[in-house]
Amino acid sequence: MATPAPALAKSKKRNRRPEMATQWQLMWWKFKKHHMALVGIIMLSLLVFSAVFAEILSPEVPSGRNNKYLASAPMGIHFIDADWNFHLRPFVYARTTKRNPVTLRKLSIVDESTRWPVEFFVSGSPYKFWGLVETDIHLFGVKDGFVHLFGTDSLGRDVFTRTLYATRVSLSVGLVGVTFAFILGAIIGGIAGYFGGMVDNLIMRLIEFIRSIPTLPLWLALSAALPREWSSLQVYLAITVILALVGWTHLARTVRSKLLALREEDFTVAARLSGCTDMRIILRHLLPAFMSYMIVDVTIAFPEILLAETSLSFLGLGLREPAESWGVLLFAAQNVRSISHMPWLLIPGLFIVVAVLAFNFVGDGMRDAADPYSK
Amino acid sequence: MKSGVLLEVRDLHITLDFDGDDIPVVQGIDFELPAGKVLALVGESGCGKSITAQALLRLLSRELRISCGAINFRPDEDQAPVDIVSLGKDGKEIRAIRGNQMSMIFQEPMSSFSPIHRIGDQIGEVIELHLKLSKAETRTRVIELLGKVGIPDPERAVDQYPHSFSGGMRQRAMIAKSLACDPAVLIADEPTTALDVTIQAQILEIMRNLKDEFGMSMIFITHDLGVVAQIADEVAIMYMGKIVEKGPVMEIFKSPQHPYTIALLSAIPRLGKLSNRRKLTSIQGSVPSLFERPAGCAFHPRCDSFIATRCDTHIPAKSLTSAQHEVHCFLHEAVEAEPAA
Amino acid sequence: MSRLLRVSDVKVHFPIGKQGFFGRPAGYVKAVDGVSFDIERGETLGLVGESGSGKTTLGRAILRVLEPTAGEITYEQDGNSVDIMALDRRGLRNIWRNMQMIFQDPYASLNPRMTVRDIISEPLLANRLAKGADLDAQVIDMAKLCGLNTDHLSRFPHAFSGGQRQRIAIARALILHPEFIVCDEAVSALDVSIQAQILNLLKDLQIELKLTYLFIAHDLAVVAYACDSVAVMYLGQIVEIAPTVKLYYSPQHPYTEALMSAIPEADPAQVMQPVFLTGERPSPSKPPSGCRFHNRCQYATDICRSEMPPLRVILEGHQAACHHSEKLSLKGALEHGARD
Repeated sequence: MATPAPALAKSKKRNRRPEMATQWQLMWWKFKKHHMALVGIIMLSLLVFSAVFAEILSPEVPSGRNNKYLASAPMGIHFIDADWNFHLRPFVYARTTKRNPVTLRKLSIVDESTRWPVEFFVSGSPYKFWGLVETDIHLFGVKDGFVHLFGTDSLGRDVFTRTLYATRVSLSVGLVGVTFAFILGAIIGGIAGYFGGMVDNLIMRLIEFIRSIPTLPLWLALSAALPREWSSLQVYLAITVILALVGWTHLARTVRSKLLALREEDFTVAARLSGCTDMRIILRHLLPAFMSYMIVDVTIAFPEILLAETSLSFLGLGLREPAESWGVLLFAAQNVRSISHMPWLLIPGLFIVVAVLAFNFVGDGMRDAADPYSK
Repeated sequence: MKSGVLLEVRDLHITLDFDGDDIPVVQGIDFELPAGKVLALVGESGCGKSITAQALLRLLSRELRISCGAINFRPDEDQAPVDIVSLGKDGKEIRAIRGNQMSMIFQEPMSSFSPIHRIGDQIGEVIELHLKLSKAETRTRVIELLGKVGIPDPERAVDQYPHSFSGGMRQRAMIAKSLACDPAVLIADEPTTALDVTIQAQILEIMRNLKDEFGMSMIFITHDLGVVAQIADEVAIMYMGKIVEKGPVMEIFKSPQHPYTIALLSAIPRLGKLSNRRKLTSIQGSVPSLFERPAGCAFHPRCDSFIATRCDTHIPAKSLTSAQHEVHCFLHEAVEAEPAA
Repeated sequence: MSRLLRVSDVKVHFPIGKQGFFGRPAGYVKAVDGVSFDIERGETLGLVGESGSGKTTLGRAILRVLEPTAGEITYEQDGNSVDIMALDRRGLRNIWRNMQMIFQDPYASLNPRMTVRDIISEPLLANRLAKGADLDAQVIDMAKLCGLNTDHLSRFPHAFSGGQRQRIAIARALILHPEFIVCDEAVSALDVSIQAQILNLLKDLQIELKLTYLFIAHDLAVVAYACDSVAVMYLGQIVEIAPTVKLYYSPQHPYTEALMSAIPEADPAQVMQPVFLTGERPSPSKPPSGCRFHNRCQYATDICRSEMPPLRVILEGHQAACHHSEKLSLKGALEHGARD
């Protein structure tokens, strides 16, 4: 017997119009399915946020020294005091100093009887936001007291503050370095891939030569060659250029191999037959195709450059005090005494781990999404 | 299950899991394969013929599953039939059937053999797994099989690697492998589509011999109606996951009943009519995507004989236009309503 | 009818391997090895052959998408004979306004990142022939002519089926109003019912826009329907060329006979009895001596093994490359089947 037709199952996805979607929209839809990648994006957003608003988020300024709290542990934030009372406003316990009679070292003692409430948008040490706007508002702080979430170093500087400032420097070095590497790699790789033949041969041999040099000694040599008198900024730029000069090779190879493959595709032949010049084919037809792969490569190159800067500065040959980067902060934690007595100095290392992991997660997601047309 | 029937498919439904939604891919198909006959499953891309073939051996990929129906397999007349749908997806029972009682050959001869193992070893693997013969006996049997499919110099060929074989030779080797354990049923999924026409003729000849001399039963999947005419005994035409017409090959070609079948037959260029170049009849529109299945009869938006308020609201049931010839179309519904004479 | 294209002794040889750092190649794959034919204005010439015949390579070489190793290609443009081989890059871009190609794979021939409008307008933009409203008007007209409608234009190729994509590819090829189109297996990747649509479209467009086609295909039934004349290629050479009906019903070359006998006819009453070729197809890098087909031919004699037969006129308008054409009575298509 004929059956009445059942109602068409309506897919929830029906209201999207995939046939109108650009490649970026398709990539985003595919990316969204990758949960770890979304976690990575959130982590990165937090890091970038703290890098941009470092001055406001931190309770102190990086140069500020607290003589009353030298080389001391992170101060905990509490809501419930020793008498089991709940306070809506978080607080830290007061600290008093005493001298150890035997070693004559200054010690900080927790005074549970006194509470220092944490205030928000307090007036603290003055600073210039991004070197432009003078203000002294900090997101949180303690009036007539101090709060050190990550502890202090042997000079009494707040590790939390310095870490946030360092985030800005490290991420921006990474960004500038990657941009240089990107441009250099795309151009050189593009030339090799599009023209092929002898040109490609020469460029590939050059790339292989550069890649065969051990990176660490290369960086050390290049940065040791920097004059000691250079200002922080000059050193900063020089370091990023050095890192980019070594980092472009990977991207160039990706661009080249993609281009070699795309060159043979029918749609490229059709573009030639349509009368397009080589330049038009590269810019109009091929570039959008391998743009997504280049972005994947950037998410891999970024942590490499980040780690490279960290390593250099950690070894004392990159950025130096008084500039802050994660590497510079870790430089101070280089000896056994520091690690055993002041383990909180290693917290910037955690930030590095988080940043590299975040980039890797995002990179994984992007790699899956990079070719939204694969079947 | 009728006697003499090796394979019976009843009301088979296969669904696709797409992002949490269940999309029907095959919607209730029935067919039978009698011993010694060739049944052709014919259709264009997206009709579900390859998926049906994969379902017979439970080879469906993860997003697809059999949601309803039975596949009754009785290779041995004396034994009870086994419902393949009820078996575990990769369990011992189905693995004992695959390659042994029911085997399959695929479309791409270039990629169906592992490039790093010898041909003899790859064919012998099936024999060792199922027939448990000794190494020497296996080798003898492989050489015999290679000879049976017309590979020259089988004693040398057995030790060669696939890359030294041409496309036609590899396809023959694949047929040899599928015959290794004397299966009751051979499923051929577009076996000649990727081959040159002269090689295709040779492979079709081998398959015809298998049918005529050895009584091999086959399910032959293809989109090429010319090949169907040359090899099939019975033909089932599929469209969007349903069988729209089924019957003996002569009747299907001489008196097609379903508008889709009629249109397909007039869409292919025929050699016999070279001198008068009539225009090919094309079917308007194109196959809808799985997500936009038309209501009622899936073919109605493209059908020249579309009946409004009938074809677009109801699904046609099976009607018989002759003893063996069934069609699913409202144009023929009247036939069923007549009482048996 | 006047001649539009003349191909003379075209060869395309691909070098294999290298001996030494600057050494000579170890050998050549002779994909196309001395092909000559003419195409008349307004005609459809079919080019058939199996894998390794060189038909696709020849199609691309004629447009110089691939560089031929030797030979001459002459195109008649506005009364002048243009030597295609002598053109520089700019000259080629110019001649491609008259000579275009439709590709086999509708999924690979359209840039997935460009809208349909962008794809069809690209030839006009690249040649700076139109812009703005005029460009839009031309694109819309051509799209409609090829069976697409205006709301298709802002979509991306992945939204379309194979047949529709091929229409987009056809619109792109025709937007500059060329005279000569190479259809490189243009319908081979399409379903049967869509194939018929596109073949009919190509025929209609040929009449409407006065086009000449070189139709490369491997499906002999399709070629029989679509083409006025057919050339059969084997191992880089043309072995027979004739008007369609003559080629199919009275072939003059044994390879053509074998091909015709192998076509599966969609008629179960006709059981085909193919001529089976012995041996294997030789590799294009090591073609046999004499006639390239001799090791598979049932009629081969001593002269076939030693001397290469030239492509010569056997009957009026019918050429074949066989020493024995006149003596053999070869069967055409449909003569091979036995009636059940």
